[in-house]
Amino acid sequence: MSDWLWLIPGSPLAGAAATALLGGALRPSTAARIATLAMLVCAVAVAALWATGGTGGAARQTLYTWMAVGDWQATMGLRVDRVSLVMVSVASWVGFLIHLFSLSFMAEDYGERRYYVFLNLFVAGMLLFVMADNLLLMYLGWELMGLCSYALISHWYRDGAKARCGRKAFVVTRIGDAALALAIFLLYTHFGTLGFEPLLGAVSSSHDDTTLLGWIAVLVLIGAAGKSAQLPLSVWLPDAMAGPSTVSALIHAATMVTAGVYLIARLHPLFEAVPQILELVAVVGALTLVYAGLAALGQHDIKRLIAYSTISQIGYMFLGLGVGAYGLALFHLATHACFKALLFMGAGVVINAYQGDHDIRKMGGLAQGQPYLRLVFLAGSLALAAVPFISAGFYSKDPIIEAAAVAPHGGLLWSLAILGAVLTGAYAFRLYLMVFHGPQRGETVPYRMSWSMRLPLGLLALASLTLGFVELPHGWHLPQLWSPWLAPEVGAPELPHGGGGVLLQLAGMVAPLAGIALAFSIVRRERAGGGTSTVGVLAQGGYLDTVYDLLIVRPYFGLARALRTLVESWSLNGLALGSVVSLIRGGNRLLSMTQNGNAARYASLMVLGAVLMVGYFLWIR
Amino acid sequence: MVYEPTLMTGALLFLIGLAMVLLRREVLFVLMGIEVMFNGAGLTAAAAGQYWQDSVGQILVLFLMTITGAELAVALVLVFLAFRRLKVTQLADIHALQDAPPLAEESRS
Repeated sequence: MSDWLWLIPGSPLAGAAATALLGGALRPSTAARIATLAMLVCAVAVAALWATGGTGGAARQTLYTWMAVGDWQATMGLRVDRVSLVMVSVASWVGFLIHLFSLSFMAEDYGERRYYVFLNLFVAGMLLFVMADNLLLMYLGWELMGLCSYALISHWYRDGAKARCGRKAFVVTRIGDAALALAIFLLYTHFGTLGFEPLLGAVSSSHDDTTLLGWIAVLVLIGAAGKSAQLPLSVWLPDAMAGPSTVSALIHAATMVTAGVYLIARLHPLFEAVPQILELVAVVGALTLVYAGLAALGQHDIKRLIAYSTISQIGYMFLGLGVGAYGLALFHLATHACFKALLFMGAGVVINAYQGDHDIRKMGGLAQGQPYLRLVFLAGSLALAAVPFISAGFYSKDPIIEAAAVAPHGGLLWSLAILGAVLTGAYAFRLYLMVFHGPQRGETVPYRMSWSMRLPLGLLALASLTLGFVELPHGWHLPQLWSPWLAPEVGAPELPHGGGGVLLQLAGMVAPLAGIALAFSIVRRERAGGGTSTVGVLAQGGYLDTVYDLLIVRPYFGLARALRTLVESWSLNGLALGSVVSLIRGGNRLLSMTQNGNAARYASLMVLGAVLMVGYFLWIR
Repeated sequence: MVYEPTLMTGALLFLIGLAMVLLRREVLFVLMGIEVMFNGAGLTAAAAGQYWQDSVGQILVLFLMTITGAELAVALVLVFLAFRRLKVTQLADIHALQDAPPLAEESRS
């Protein structure tokens, strides 16, 4: 029944291995086809999983024992329940569409084989991460994504600034990785197991030691925040734009940043055992979504703007997790994956149409040149802004905002979330209007999209508009599919009822529209040379990078430089190594003086030796 | 019998030969110095045989003369060949097997 589960992470892995091993023997277009084919196999396998086991219990398959120490063993075990099925579907289907889009989008680039190896490996890492049945295997996938994100962000490594962005992403996420590793160590020492089912059972039944559980939960939260670019570790994501647009789509939609959300959803019994940390998750999410929303308003680089919008939307997911609405967070994750992949790939086409220019202040009126792109981009923007009734974003985001209202400290969380909704509408339509409407500006080239680019964009646009209908708002007495389906795994969210609920829903509908109205006036000012991109604090993302640079990066570099001079150069090389070297050198010189090839010298030394020996035997002995 | 003049002469011959070996530059003279040293040693051996009333000293001298003759034949051929092949007569110029001169203090990083 489920003995082909290995195919899901296995086929992208095999694709990556094939491209990496065959290497130079393949033409770049062949490598692209292999990678896309591997993803197609994976996507079909996931579809088959839906058809056979999607509604039943958890499907599982143990491939082999990875390592065994004494009684303890870590298995290569795969497990798919409904929560991970959502993630697997997002990663494989959206991942496949991104691969399909890459076929012609990346066709005239350098390093395609490297690109496709890491792209495939990235999806394999994500699938391994969500399908693992124990924390150790999960961590393997987690690290695999860290590596691949580094390699893909610095794909155009010949540009030093882009290579630096890759390093930044790697180092910042590494902070979270280290925290997650510590959390895993603590969980193992305390509970003696890393398998999810025994571990979470043990966590829910132990009520004695909440201090330790609290620390573990905090460490998991730091890990998730690092991967998902939440405050205070959000700084890497805007710079992750250095990679190709398709890589941004993959990182932002199908993989990587959603890993933190899944991690918390998977470990939710741990967080429920320590409710104050769960509230911390909600607070982190709420603060991040407002911060990133404000920062997005100030961006003029099209990809940085969308990147900040990702941070903001992940903030909504964290808010949903923090108020206990795990199913809704996953729902928003799925819809977000669709519209964010769409927006990023669309942005890639926009950038190509403007000959590599990222600055939306120099764009305008692209709707005439690219009518198809304009339509799908509009669909993505509607979903991002969560326009009521017609977009999937509304059905997934609005319940999270409502659920925040009834949580502890609900007033604060709800106000932040509704403020974020206004901001979302404003920045989403600021982007859309700046690029596609108004007078034609900037130098454009006619850029024809092939069918392999149009098809993914069209499918994602369709999903961005219609995916929401699987979960209609709860007060409407209409069928709901998503929450009841996920309820056995993560429980049902608590939502407001009665008249208050209706008012909250109305507020959730008005907020994005208010934001869009705001966008029109911002865009008018922006075209006149003013607008939000001239506000320094917004454009610089709250000066967070500057602060980190001053507080952490510079002191660290100073420390490294001091150590290099004092310890390495002077103490080690100068004193310790230098004395040994000069000792050997001096001895060498002394001994080689006796062997100078001069026969008379040898003879006199022999005489000297003979005299000394004779003298010794005659007088001293 | 008085031994001192004989032993002194032997020692003198040895020292003269040693001085030739150490101080002369031509290969031929160095060889001659070695021969002189042999003679000093032989004289001393003969005197010692007389002193201990033992024929071993005289036998040693006979051996010494024979072997020296054989050795000299080989050595002279070597000197001749060195002159003919390498065009050298000075001992210091025979250094075909010597290492390359030691590197003068390579540059340190």
